[in-house]
Amino acid sequence: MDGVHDVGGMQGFGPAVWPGSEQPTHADWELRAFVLALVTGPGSSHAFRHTIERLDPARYLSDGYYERWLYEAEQALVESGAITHEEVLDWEHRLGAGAEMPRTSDLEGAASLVRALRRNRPLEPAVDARFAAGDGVRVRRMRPAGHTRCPRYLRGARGTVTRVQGLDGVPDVDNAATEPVYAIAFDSGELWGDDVERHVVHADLWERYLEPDHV
Amino acid sequence: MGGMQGFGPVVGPGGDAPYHHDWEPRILALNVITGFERLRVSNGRADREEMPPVEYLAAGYFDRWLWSVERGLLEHGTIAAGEIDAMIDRLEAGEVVARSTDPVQVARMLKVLDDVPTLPPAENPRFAVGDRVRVLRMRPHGHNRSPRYLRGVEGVVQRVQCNDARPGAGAEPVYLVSFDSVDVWGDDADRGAVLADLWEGYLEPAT
Repeated sequence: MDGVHDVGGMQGFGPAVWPGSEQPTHADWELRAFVLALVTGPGSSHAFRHTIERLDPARYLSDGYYERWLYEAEQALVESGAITHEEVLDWEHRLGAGAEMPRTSDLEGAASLVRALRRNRPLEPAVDARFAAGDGVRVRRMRPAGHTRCPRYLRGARGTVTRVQGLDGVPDVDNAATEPVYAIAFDSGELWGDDVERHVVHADLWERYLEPDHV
Repeated sequence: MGGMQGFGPVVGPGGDAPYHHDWEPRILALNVITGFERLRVSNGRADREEMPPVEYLAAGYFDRWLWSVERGLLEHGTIAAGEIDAMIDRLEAGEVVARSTDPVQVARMLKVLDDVPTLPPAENPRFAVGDRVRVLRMRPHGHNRSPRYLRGVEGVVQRVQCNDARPGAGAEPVYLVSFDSVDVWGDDADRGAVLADLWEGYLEPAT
């Protein structure tokens, strides 16, 4: 989905790095939102992101990072039937009125979650990759319905394969299929025109986002 | 926003009505009068594009007009910083909005608004009807009327429209360019033509 979340290449958002931005969290509740999203999570980071992408655009931009995570967690819990929206509102009301927050602790569950997060499996090698290092490719034009990791500002641009990264789940079909992923290098002039400072933009892109550059 | 998804229907219930609040036509009039009487710096769209993105999306059409009128009045020195907030306080405290009417001024402005000039024919156009062109990749500063979703796309000149001032540049030919929807949105897009009026400075010959 080409929503307002795809801010790559857009202007007017202010500095990407600001005082304090190196801090992982900025309020206590943010860590709790992070854990809540992990513990209840849909198991797919792609489904997770697509839920957030469907937020109202103005709300998406005004919410902070962990507000979006909290939204996702609530949305996923409501959609799965684990809780109702009314329950969320009821708890908001009760906590606002001074009710004590129920606490729970599951050390074993926490340990296995941390183990899963630390498990960093290398990608399977892409044996039947369509492209090889040095190949010229062009990013396809598209109008994706769901989540995609093909940035809008690269569509139609020509680049060069610098590395075949390996096989990885395709975000657009929610990991149901794996496909070769390539590191692609783009000349900044190809993306932003001849009068920009020259540099190379690198992006990891799935095979289905690419076509051979015949020109 | 052209080509972006997730913004809901283009025409909502009541979307055919020109105004949705009483204050909106007043903002239109405020914009016209302050521009006509040169009471403000007039950057219009360039100004509104500098609104913080969250504010921009949350604001309605005439909210944005009000934003750029206030900014232009401040930049021109017609009003001073703090005057707007002070006036808001006074109105909230019950003061009645001062009204003024000047039928001569209104008649003059309506005459100017009615007198829409015809744009002159294109001067030495670089492209002709049937030429294949590509929209330049760019990273524009200031206001620009080359939609992002057309950058890098090839199309065909359908008509040489006129000569007109390009924002941030001088007067130059404007072309009606036709794009195949597939070239814009990919192979699985509904087939159709996307038509856009584009200044010559946004185009290069397609190779």
